[in-house]
Amino acid sequence: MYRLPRMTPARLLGAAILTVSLPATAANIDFSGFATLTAGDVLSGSKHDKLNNFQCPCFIANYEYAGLYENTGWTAGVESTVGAQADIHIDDQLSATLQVDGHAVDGYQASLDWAYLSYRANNNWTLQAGHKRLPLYYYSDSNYIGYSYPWVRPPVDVYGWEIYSYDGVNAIYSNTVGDWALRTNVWAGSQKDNDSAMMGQIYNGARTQVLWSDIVGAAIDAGNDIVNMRLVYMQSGLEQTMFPNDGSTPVPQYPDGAKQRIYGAAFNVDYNNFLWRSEYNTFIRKAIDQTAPSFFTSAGYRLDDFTFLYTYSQYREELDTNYTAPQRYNTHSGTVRWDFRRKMALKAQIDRFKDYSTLPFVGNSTLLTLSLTTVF
Amino acid sequence: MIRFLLMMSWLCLATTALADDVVVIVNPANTVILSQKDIANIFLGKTSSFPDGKPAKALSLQDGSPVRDDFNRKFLKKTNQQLDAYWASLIFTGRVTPPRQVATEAEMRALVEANRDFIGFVRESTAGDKVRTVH
Repeated sequence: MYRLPRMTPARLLGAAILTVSLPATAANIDFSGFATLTAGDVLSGSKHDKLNNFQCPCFIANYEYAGLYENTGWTAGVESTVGAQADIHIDDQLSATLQVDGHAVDGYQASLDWAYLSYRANNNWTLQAGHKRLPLYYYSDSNYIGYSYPWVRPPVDVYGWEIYSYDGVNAIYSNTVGDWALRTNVWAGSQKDNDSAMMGQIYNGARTQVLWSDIVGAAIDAGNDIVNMRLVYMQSGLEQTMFPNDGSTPVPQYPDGAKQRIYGAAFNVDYNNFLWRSEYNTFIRKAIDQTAPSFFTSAGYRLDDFTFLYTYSQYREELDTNYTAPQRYNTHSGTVRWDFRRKMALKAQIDRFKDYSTLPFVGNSTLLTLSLTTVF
Repeated sequence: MIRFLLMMSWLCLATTALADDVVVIVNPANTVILSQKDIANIFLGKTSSFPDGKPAKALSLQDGSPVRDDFNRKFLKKTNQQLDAYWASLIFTGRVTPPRQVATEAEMRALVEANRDFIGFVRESTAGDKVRTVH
Protein backbone atom coordinates (compact mmCIF):
# COMPACT_ATOMS: atom_id res chain seq x y z
CA MET A 1 0.00 0.00 0.00
CA TYR A 2 1.54 3.34 0.99
CA ARG A 3 4.21 2.28 3.41
CA LEU A 4 7.78 3.45 3.29
CA PRO A 5 10.38 0.90 4.29
CA ARG A 6 10.92 1.19 7.99
CA MET A 7 14.59 2.13 7.74
CA THR A 8 15.31 4.87 10.26
CA PRO A 9 18.75 6.49 10.13
CA ALA A 10 19.76 4.60 13.30
CA ARG A 11 18.86 1.27 11.73
CA LEU A 12 20.59 2.08 8.46
CA LEU A 13 23.70 3.08 10.37
CA GLY A 14 23.57 -0.13 12.38
CA ALA A 15 23.23 -2.20 9.20
CA ALA A 16 26.07 -0.28 7.56
CA ILE A 17 28.44 -0.80 10.50
CA LEU A 18 27.62 -4.49 10.53
CA THR A 19 28.17 -4.83 6.78
CA VAL A 20 31.46 -2.97 6.85
CA SER A 21 32.78 -4.92 9.82
CA LEU A 22 31.99 -8.30 8.26
CA PRO A 23 34.97 -8.89 5.97
CA ALA A 24 37.39 -7.68 8.65
CA THR A 25 36.23 -10.07 11.30
CA ALA A 26 35.53 -13.00 8.93
CA ALA A 27 32.54 -13.66 11.12
CA ASN A 28 30.65 -16.90 11.00
CA ILE A 29 27.22 -16.20 9.51
CA ASP A 30 24.07 -18.33 9.64
CA PHE A 31 21.44 -17.55 7.02
CA SER A 32 17.84 -18.66 7.37
CA GLY A 33 14.51 -17.79 5.87
CA PHE A 34 10.78 -18.26 6.07
CA ALA A 35 7.81 -17.83 3.78
CA THR A 36 4.07 -18.00 4.23
CA LEU A 37 1.55 -17.89 1.41
CA THR A 38 -1.89 -17.23 2.82
CA ALA A 39 -5.04 -16.81 0.75
CA GLY A 40 -8.36 -15.82 2.24
CA ASP A 41 -11.86 -14.71 1.45
CA VAL A 42 -14.63 -13.22 3.57
CA LEU A 43 -17.43 -15.66 2.90
CA SER A 44 -20.26 -13.77 4.54
CA GLY A 45 -21.09 -11.13 7.10
CA SER A 46 -22.98 -7.95 7.73
CA LYS A 47 -22.97 -5.26 5.08
CA HIS A 48 -21.28 -2.28 6.49
CA ASP A 49 -19.81 0.84 4.99
CA LYS A 50 -18.32 2.59 7.98
CA LEU A 51 -14.74 1.55 7.46
CA ASN A 52 -13.39 4.15 5.03
CA ASN A 53 -13.57 2.79 1.50
CA PHE A 54 -13.35 -0.89 2.34
CA GLN A 55 -15.81 -3.42 1.00
CA CYS A 56 -17.41 -4.94 4.05
CA PRO A 57 -18.20 -7.55 5.27
CA CYS A 58 -14.53 -7.51 6.06
CA PHE A 59 -12.07 -9.03 8.53
CA ILE A 60 -8.97 -7.45 10.08
CA ALA A 61 -6.32 -10.17 10.03
CA ASN A 62 -3.34 -8.03 10.98
CA TYR A 63 -3.15 -4.79 12.93
CA GLU A 64 0.59 -4.23 12.46
CA TYR A 65 0.51 -3.77 8.69
CA ALA A 66 -3.22 -3.13 8.37
CA GLY A 67 -4.07 -6.43 6.70
CA LEU A 68 -7.77 -6.46 5.97
CA TYR A 69 -9.77 -9.00 3.95
CA GLU A 70 -12.73 -7.67 2.05
CA ASN A 71 -15.70 -9.38 0.49
CA THR A 72 -14.12 -9.25 -2.97
CA GLY A 73 -13.03 -12.84 -3.63
CA TRP A 74 -9.92 -14.82 -2.82
CA THR A 75 -6.72 -12.91 -2.31
CA ALA A 76 -3.17 -13.78 -1.24
CA GLY A 77 -2.30 -10.11 -0.86
CA VAL A 78 -3.21 -9.59 2.79
CA GLU A 79 -1.14 -11.91 4.97
CA SER A 80 1.51 -13.53 2.76
CA THR A 81 4.99 -12.85 4.10
CA VAL A 82 8.61 -13.69 3.27
CA GLY A 83 11.66 -13.08 5.39
CA ALA A 84 15.39 -13.65 5.48
CA GLN A 85 17.72 -13.52 8.42
CA ALA A 86 21.43 -13.35 8.98
CA ASP A 87 22.92 -14.21 12.36
CA ILE A 88 26.45 -12.92 12.41
CA HIS A 89 28.60 -14.51 15.11
CA ILE A 90 31.43 -12.05 15.53
CA ASP A 91 33.01 -14.03 18.36
CA ASP A 92 31.84 -16.32 21.16
CA GLN A 93 30.15 -13.47 22.98
CA LEU A 94 29.14 -10.93 20.36
CA SER A 95 26.61 -11.49 17.59
CA ALA A 96 24.35 -9.46 15.36
CA THR A 97 20.92 -10.39 14.03
CA LEU A 98 19.40 -8.82 10.93
CA GLN A 99 16.03 -9.80 9.58
CA VAL A 100 14.39 -8.33 6.50
CA ASP A 101 10.71 -9.04 5.96
CA GLY A 102 8.36 -8.36 3.09
CA HIS A 103 4.60 -8.34 3.54
CA ALA A 104 2.19 -8.73 0.63
CA VAL A 105 -0.08 -6.02 2.02
CA ASP A 106 2.84 -3.59 1.69
CA GLY A 107 3.65 -4.70 -1.86
CA TYR A 108 6.59 -6.66 -0.33
CA GLN A 109 8.54 -3.52 0.51
CA ALA A 110 11.51 -4.58 2.57
CA SER A 111 11.21 -3.78 6.24
CA LEU A 112 13.98 -4.35 8.73
CA ASP A 113 12.14 -6.17 11.52
CA TRP A 114 15.14 -7.11 13.62
CA ALA A 115 18.51 -5.36 13.70
CA TYR A 116 20.34 -5.74 16.96
CA LEU A 117 23.62 -6.57 18.61
CA SER A 118 23.74 -9.24 21.26
CA TYR A 119 26.47 -9.58 23.87
CA ARG A 120 26.61 -12.72 26.00
CA ALA A 121 28.22 -11.49 29.21
CA ASN A 122 28.27 -14.95 30.79
CA ASN A 123 26.27 -18.19 30.84
CA ASN A 124 23.23 -16.42 32.30
CA TRP A 125 23.27 -12.79 31.14
CA THR A 126 22.79 -11.48 27.62
CA LEU A 127 22.68 -7.77 26.77
CA GLN A 128 21.12 -6.56 23.51
CA ALA A 129 20.71 -3.23 21.75
CA GLY A 130 19.04 -2.22 18.51
CA HIS A 131 15.70 -2.63 16.81
CA LYS A 132 13.55 -5.51 18.06
CA ARG A 133 9.95 -6.64 18.15
CA LEU A 134 8.15 -5.63 21.34
CA PRO A 135 7.84 -8.80 23.43
CA LEU A 136 4.32 -8.00 24.64
CA TYR A 137 2.85 -11.40 23.86
CA TYR A 138 3.91 -15.02 23.96
CA TYR A 139 4.06 -15.14 20.14
CA SER A 140 5.20 -11.54 19.53
CA ASP A 141 8.69 -12.58 18.53
CA SER A 142 7.55 -15.27 16.10
CA ASN A 143 4.40 -13.52 14.87
CA TYR A 144 5.32 -14.01 11.20
CA ILE A 145 6.91 -17.46 11.52
CA GLY A 146 3.74 -19.32 10.61
CA TYR A 147 5.52 -22.65 10.88
CA SER A 148 6.11 -22.15 14.61
CA TYR A 149 2.47 -22.02 15.76
CA PRO A 150 -0.71 -23.97 15.03
CA TRP A 151 -3.09 -21.25 13.75
CA VAL A 152 -2.95 -19.34 10.48
CA ARG A 153 -2.16 -16.30 12.70
CA PRO A 154 -2.03 -15.74 16.47
CA PRO A 155 -5.59 -14.69 17.46
CA VAL A 156 -6.00 -11.05 16.38
CA ASP A 157 -8.50 -10.12 19.09
CA VAL A 158 -5.48 -10.33 21.41
CA TYR A 159 -2.58 -9.64 19.00
CA GLY A 160 -4.20 -6.41 17.91
CA TRP A 161 -2.03 -3.35 18.48
CA GLU A 162 -0.48 -1.09 15.89
CA ILE A 163 2.93 -0.63 17.56
CA TYR A 164 4.89 -3.87 17.55
CA SER A 165 8.57 -2.99 17.67
CA TYR A 166 10.94 -0.64 19.45
CA ASP A 167 14.43 0.81 19.36
CA GLY A 168 16.19 0.28 22.64
CA VAL A 169 18.13 -1.98 24.93
CA ASN A 170 17.30 -5.13 26.87
CA ALA A 171 18.89 -7.59 29.28
CA ILE A 172 18.04 -11.28 29.46
CA TYR A 173 18.73 -13.60 32.39
CA SER A 174 18.36 -17.30 31.61
CA ASN A 175 18.63 -20.10 34.13
CA THR A 176 17.21 -23.50 34.99
CA VAL A 177 15.58 -24.57 38.24
CA GLY A 178 14.96 -28.31 38.39
CA ASP A 179 12.83 -29.18 35.37
CA TRP A 180 12.07 -25.55 34.61
CA ALA A 181 13.88 -23.30 32.18
CA LEU A 182 13.44 -19.63 33.10
CA ARG A 183 14.04 -16.57 30.99
CA THR A 184 13.65 -13.06 32.34
CA ASN A 185 13.82 -10.12 29.96
CA VAL A 186 13.74 -6.41 30.84
CA TRP A 187 13.70 -3.75 28.16
CA ALA A 188 13.57 0.01 27.62
CA GLY A 189 13.21 2.12 24.51
CA SER A 190 10.71 3.91 22.32
CA GLN A 191 8.95 3.63 19.00
CA LYS A 192 7.55 6.24 16.66
CA ASP A 193 5.47 5.42 13.60
CA ASN A 194 5.06 8.53 11.44
CA ASP A 195 2.33 6.99 9.33
CA SER A 196 0.58 4.21 11.17
CA ALA A 197 -0.93 1.87 8.59
CA MET A 198 -3.61 0.65 10.94
CA MET A 199 -4.63 4.03 12.26
CA GLY A 200 -4.37 5.84 8.94
CA GLN A 201 -5.80 3.41 6.46
CA ILE A 202 -8.36 1.64 8.54
CA TYR A 203 -9.52 3.82 11.40
CA ASN A 204 -9.66 7.37 10.16
CA GLY A 205 -8.36 7.61 6.59
CA ALA A 206 -5.78 10.29 7.49
CA ARG A 207 -2.07 10.09 8.27
CA THR A 208 -1.68 9.31 11.94
CA GLN A 209 1.54 9.55 13.91
CA VAL A 210 1.86 7.22 16.88
CA LEU A 211 4.60 7.50 19.51
CA TRP A 212 5.17 5.12 22.39
CA SER A 213 7.84 6.85 24.45
CA ASP A 214 9.76 5.84 27.59
CA ILE A 215 8.88 2.18 27.13
CA VAL A 216 9.90 0.04 30.12
CA GLY A 217 8.90 -3.60 30.34
CA ALA A 218 9.68 -6.94 31.91
CA ALA A 219 8.64 -10.49 31.06
CA ILE A 220 9.35 -13.82 32.65
CA ASP A 221 8.98 -17.07 30.71
CA ALA A 222 9.00 -20.40 32.52
CA GLY A 223 8.72 -23.75 30.81
CA ASN A 224 9.25 -27.47 31.14
CA ASP A 225 8.39 -30.39 28.84
CA ILE A 226 4.67 -29.93 29.33
CA VAL A 227 3.89 -26.41 30.49
CA ASN A 228 5.03 -23.01 29.22
CA MET A 229 3.99 -19.88 31.10
CA ARG A 230 4.61 -16.18 30.73
CA LEU A 231 3.98 -13.00 32.71
CA VAL A 232 4.57 -9.55 31.25
CA TYR A 233 4.30 -5.92 32.34
CA MET A 234 5.02 -2.86 30.23
CA GLN A 235 4.40 0.87 30.47
CA SER A 236 5.01 3.79 28.15
CA GLY A 237 4.07 7.33 27.29
CA LEU A 238 1.51 7.68 24.53
CA GLU A 239 1.08 10.30 21.83
CA GLN A 240 -1.12 10.01 18.79
CA THR A 241 -1.70 12.80 16.28
CA MET A 242 -3.99 12.75 13.27
CA PHE A 243 -3.12 14.99 10.30
CA PRO A 244 -6.41 15.69 8.52
CA ASN A 245 -6.40 15.21 4.72
CA ASP A 246 -7.65 18.77 4.18
CA GLY A 247 -4.47 20.18 5.73
CA SER A 248 -6.22 21.61 8.76
CA THR A 249 -4.63 21.67 12.22
CA PRO A 250 -3.29 18.29 13.41
CA VAL A 251 -5.51 16.71 16.04
CA PRO A 252 -3.90 15.15 19.12
CA GLN A 253 -5.89 12.07 20.09
CA TYR A 254 -4.72 11.77 23.68
CA PRO A 255 -4.24 14.46 26.32
CA ASP A 256 -0.66 15.63 26.93
CA GLY A 257 1.32 13.28 29.13
CA ALA A 258 -0.97 10.27 28.48
CA LYS A 259 0.48 6.97 29.65
CA GLN A 260 -0.39 3.32 29.25
CA ARG A 261 0.17 0.23 31.35
CA ILE A 262 -0.04 -3.26 29.91
CA TYR A 263 -0.35 -6.55 31.81
CA GLY A 264 -0.32 -9.98 30.24
CA ALA A 265 -0.12 -13.69 31.02
CA ALA A 266 0.09 -16.84 28.93
CA PHE A 267 -0.38 -20.48 29.84
CA ASN A 268 0.34 -23.25 27.33
CA VAL A 269 0.30 -27.02 27.68
CA ASP A 270 1.50 -29.83 25.44
CA TYR A 271 0.60 -33.18 26.94
CA ASN A 272 0.82 -36.30 24.77
CA ASN A 273 -1.39 -35.45 21.80
CA PHE A 274 -3.29 -32.67 23.51
CA LEU A 275 -2.43 -29.02 23.27
CA TRP A 276 -3.77 -25.97 25.09
CA ARG A 277 -2.89 -22.37 24.36
CA SER A 278 -4.20 -19.38 26.32
CA GLU A 279 -3.24 -15.78 26.74
CA TYR A 280 -4.68 -12.81 28.57
CA ASN A 281 -3.72 -9.20 28.09
CA THR A 282 -5.01 -5.83 29.21
CA PHE A 283 -4.14 -2.28 28.17
CA ILE A 284 -4.93 0.53 30.62
CA ARG A 285 -4.91 4.13 29.42
CA LYS A 286 -6.12 6.20 32.38
CA ALA A 287 -6.11 9.50 30.45
CA ILE A 288 -9.10 8.36 28.39
CA ASP A 289 -10.49 5.92 30.98
CA GLN A 290 -9.67 3.07 28.63
CA THR A 291 -9.34 -0.49 29.86
CA ALA A 292 -8.92 -3.03 27.09
CA PRO A 293 -8.79 -6.64 28.26
CA SER A 294 -8.52 -9.41 25.71
CA PHE A 295 -7.92 -13.15 25.88
CA PHE A 296 -7.99 -16.35 23.88
CA THR A 297 -8.07 -20.03 24.67
CA SER A 298 -7.29 -22.80 22.19
CA ALA A 299 -7.73 -26.52 22.68
CA GLY A 300 -6.33 -28.99 20.19
CA TYR A 301 -5.43 -32.56 19.41
CA ARG A 302 -2.63 -33.96 17.28
CA LEU A 303 -3.30 -37.01 15.16
CA ASP A 304 -0.18 -38.09 13.27
CA ASP A 305 0.62 -35.26 10.86
CA PHE A 306 -2.61 -33.41 11.57
CA THR A 307 -3.45 -30.93 14.34
CA PHE A 308 -7.06 -29.96 15.01
CA LEU A 309 -7.66 -26.80 17.01
CA TYR A 310 -10.60 -24.80 18.31
CA THR A 311 -10.05 -21.21 19.50
CA TYR A 312 -12.22 -18.66 21.26
CA SER A 313 -10.96 -15.10 21.55
CA GLN A 314 -12.44 -11.79 22.63
CA TYR A 315 -11.64 -8.11 23.01
CA ARG A 316 -13.82 -6.02 25.29
CA GLU A 317 -12.98 -2.38 25.79
CA GLU A 318 -14.23 0.06 28.42
CA LEU A 319 -13.82 3.65 27.35
CA ASP A 320 -14.69 7.18 28.39
CA THR A 321 -17.76 8.05 26.30
CA ASN A 322 -16.25 11.44 25.38
CA TYR A 323 -14.04 9.62 22.91
CA THR A 324 -15.42 6.93 20.65
CA ALA A 325 -17.78 4.08 21.29
CA PRO A 326 -15.97 1.12 22.80
CA GLN A 327 -14.98 -1.76 20.55
CA ARG A 328 -16.15 -5.19 21.63
CA TYR A 329 -15.98 -8.39 19.66
CA ASN A 330 -15.25 -12.08 19.78
CA THR A 331 -14.15 -14.80 17.38
CA HIS A 332 -14.69 -18.55 17.18
CA SER A 333 -12.06 -20.25 15.05
CA GLY A 334 -11.43 -23.77 13.81
CA THR A 335 -8.00 -24.70 12.45
CA VAL A 336 -6.57 -27.80 10.79
CA ARG A 337 -2.81 -27.98 10.36
CA TRP A 338 -1.21 -30.65 8.20
CA ASP A 339 2.55 -31.19 8.50
CA PHE A 340 2.82 -32.85 5.11
CA ARG A 341 6.61 -32.73 4.90
CA ARG A 342 9.59 -31.56 6.95
CA LYS A 343 9.61 -27.81 7.62
CA MET A 344 6.39 -27.28 5.68
CA ALA A 345 2.80 -27.12 6.84
CA LEU A 346 -0.54 -26.47 5.23
CA LYS A 347 -3.29 -24.91 7.33
CA ALA A 348 -6.97 -24.20 6.83
CA GLN A 349 -8.84 -21.93 9.23
CA ILE A 350 -12.32 -20.58 9.54
CA ASP A 351 -12.97 -17.53 11.73
CA ARG A 352 -16.43 -16.38 12.77
CA PHE A 353 -16.08 -12.81 13.97
CA LYS A 354 -18.92 -11.21 15.91
CA ASP A 355 -18.92 -7.46 16.45
CA TYR A 356 -20.99 -6.22 19.36
CA SER A 357 -19.42 -2.77 19.73
CA THR A 358 -21.76 0.07 20.68
CA LEU A 359 -21.31 1.40 17.15
CA PRO A 360 -20.43 -1.47 14.79
CA PHE A 361 -16.67 -1.47 14.21
CA VAL A 362 -16.26 -3.75 11.21
CA GLY A 363 -19.49 -5.74 11.52
CA ASN A 364 -19.83 -9.51 11.67
CA SER A 365 -17.94 -11.69 9.22
CA THR A 366 -16.84 -15.23 8.42
CA LEU A 367 -13.35 -15.63 6.98
CA LEU A 368 -11.85 -18.73 5.38
CA THR A 369 -8.06 -18.83 4.97
CA LEU A 370 -5.64 -21.39 3.54
CA SER A 371 -2.00 -21.04 4.41
CA LEU A 372 1.16 -22.76 3.22
CA THR A 373 4.12 -22.04 5.47
CA THR A 374 7.76 -23.04 5.47
CA VAL A 375 11.10 -22.35 7.09
CA PHE A 376 14.44 -22.91 5.40
CA MET B 1 32.73 -47.71 -7.54
CA ILE B 2 33.08 -44.89 -5.04
CA ARG B 3 29.36 -44.37 -5.18
CA PHE B 4 28.83 -48.10 -4.54
CA LEU B 5 31.16 -48.00 -1.54
CA LEU B 6 29.46 -44.91 -0.21
CA MET B 7 26.12 -46.59 -0.55
CA MET B 8 27.38 -49.73 1.19
CA SER B 9 28.84 -47.70 4.03
CA TRP B 10 25.59 -45.76 4.34
CA LEU B 11 23.66 -49.04 4.51
CA CYS B 12 26.03 -50.35 7.16
CA LEU B 13 25.61 -47.14 9.16
CA ALA B 14 21.86 -47.26 8.80
CA THR B 15 21.56 -50.87 9.91
CA THR B 16 24.08 -50.47 12.72
CA ALA B 17 22.22 -47.45 14.01
CA LEU B 18 19.11 -49.54 14.46
CA ALA B 19 20.85 -52.08 16.65
CA ASP B 20 23.33 -49.77 18.30
CA ASP B 21 22.20 -47.41 21.04
CA VAL B 22 23.01 -43.73 20.83
CA VAL B 23 25.15 -42.42 23.72
CA VAL B 24 26.03 -38.94 24.90
CA ILE B 25 29.74 -38.07 25.06
CA VAL B 26 31.76 -35.35 26.78
CA ASN B 27 35.44 -34.55 27.15
CA PRO B 28 37.25 -36.88 29.64
CA ALA B 29 38.23 -33.82 31.72
CA ASN B 30 34.54 -33.04 32.18
CA THR B 31 33.46 -35.09 35.22
CA VAL B 32 30.03 -33.54 35.65
CA ILE B 33 27.06 -35.82 36.31
CA LEU B 34 24.30 -35.23 33.76
CA SER B 35 20.67 -36.26 33.95
CA GLN B 36 18.62 -36.78 30.80
CA LYS B 37 16.92 -33.48 31.60
CA ASP B 38 20.27 -31.65 31.78
CA ILE B 39 21.15 -33.07 28.38
CA ALA B 40 17.81 -31.99 26.89
CA ASN B 41 18.18 -28.47 28.34
CA ILE B 42 21.62 -28.10 26.74
CA PHE B 43 20.59 -29.45 23.33
CA LEU B 44 17.39 -27.34 23.27
CA GLY B 45 19.34 -24.17 24.04
CA LYS B 46 17.58 -23.70 27.40
CA THR B 47 20.91 -23.50 29.16
CA SER B 48 24.41 -22.82 27.94
CA SER B 49 26.24 -24.33 30.88
CA PHE B 50 26.79 -27.71 32.52
CA PRO B 51 25.33 -28.19 36.04
CA ASP B 52 28.78 -27.25 37.46
CA GLY B 53 28.52 -23.83 35.79
CA LYS B 54 31.13 -24.46 33.08
CA PRO B 55 30.15 -23.54 29.50
CA ALA B 56 28.38 -26.19 27.44
CA LYS B 57 28.33 -26.28 23.63
CA ALA B 58 26.15 -28.89 21.99
CA LEU B 59 27.12 -30.63 18.77
CA SER B 60 24.68 -32.38 16.50
CA LEU B 61 24.82 -34.43 13.32
CA GLN B 62 23.26 -33.30 10.07
CA ASP B 63 19.56 -33.41 9.39
CA GLY B 64 18.50 -36.84 8.14
CA SER B 65 21.12 -38.72 10.14
CA PRO B 66 19.50 -41.81 11.73
CA VAL B 67 21.78 -41.42 14.78
CA ARG B 68 20.47 -37.89 15.26
CA ASP B 69 16.86 -39.10 14.91
CA ASP B 70 17.55 -41.71 17.61
CA PHE B 71 19.09 -39.08 19.87
CA ASN B 72 16.10 -36.74 19.41
CA ARG B 73 13.67 -39.51 20.30
CA LYS B 74 15.63 -40.87 23.27
CA PHE B 75 16.96 -37.71 24.93
CA LEU B 76 14.84 -34.81 23.65
CA LYS B 77 11.66 -36.88 23.43
CA LYS B 78 10.55 -34.91 20.42
CA THR B 79 9.76 -35.78 16.83
CA ASN B 80 11.57 -34.02 14.00
CA GLN B 81 8.43 -31.98 13.31
CA GLN B 82 8.19 -30.80 16.91
CA LEU B 83 11.86 -29.85 16.89
CA ASP B 84 11.51 -28.01 13.57
CA ALA B 85 8.65 -25.91 15.00
CA TYR B 86 10.53 -25.37 18.28
CA TRP B 87 13.65 -24.07 16.54
CA ALA B 88 11.63 -22.02 14.05
CA SER B 89 10.21 -20.00 16.94
CA LEU B 90 13.70 -19.33 18.35
CA ILE B 91 15.96 -18.98 15.31
CA PHE B 92 13.97 -16.14 13.75
CA THR B 93 14.18 -14.02 16.84
CA GLY B 94 17.93 -14.50 17.09
CA ARG B 95 17.40 -15.86 20.59
CA VAL B 96 19.25 -19.13 20.43
CA THR B 97 20.96 -20.94 17.64
CA PRO B 98 20.56 -24.72 17.30
CA PRO B 99 23.55 -26.98 18.06
CA ARG B 100 26.41 -26.73 15.58
CA GLN B 101 26.15 -29.52 13.05
CA VAL B 102 29.07 -31.75 12.13
CA ALA B 103 29.26 -34.14 9.20
CA THR B 104 30.31 -37.39 10.84
CA GLU B 105 30.47 -39.16 14.17
CA ALA B 106 34.26 -39.23 13.84
CA GLU B 107 34.34 -35.43 13.60
CA MET B 108 31.99 -35.17 16.58
CA ARG B 109 34.23 -37.49 18.62
CA ALA B 110 37.36 -35.55 17.65
CA LEU B 111 35.84 -32.20 18.67
CA VAL B 112 34.62 -33.54 22.02
CA GLU B 113 38.02 -35.12 22.64
CA ALA B 114 39.74 -31.79 21.97
CA ASN B 115 37.49 -29.35 23.86
CA ARG B 116 36.06 -29.51 27.36
CA ASP B 117 33.03 -27.37 26.43
CA PHE B 118 31.61 -29.72 23.81
CA ILE B 119 28.91 -32.32 24.32
CA GLY B 120 27.81 -34.63 21.51
CA PHE B 121 26.37 -38.04 20.72
CA VAL B 122 27.48 -41.11 18.77
CA ARG B 123 26.54 -44.74 18.47
CA GLU B 124 27.76 -46.73 21.46
CA SER B 125 29.97 -48.98 19.33
CA THR B 126 31.87 -45.98 17.94
CA ALA B 127 32.37 -44.02 21.17
CA GLY B 128 35.89 -45.38 21.82
CA ASP B 129 37.81 -44.62 25.00
CA LYS B 130 39.06 -41.09 24.34
CA VAL B 131 35.78 -39.46 25.28
CA ARG B 132 33.60 -39.99 28.35
CA THR B 133 30.21 -41.61 27.85
CA VAL B 134 27.65 -40.03 30.18
CA HIS B 135 24.43 -41.76 29.14
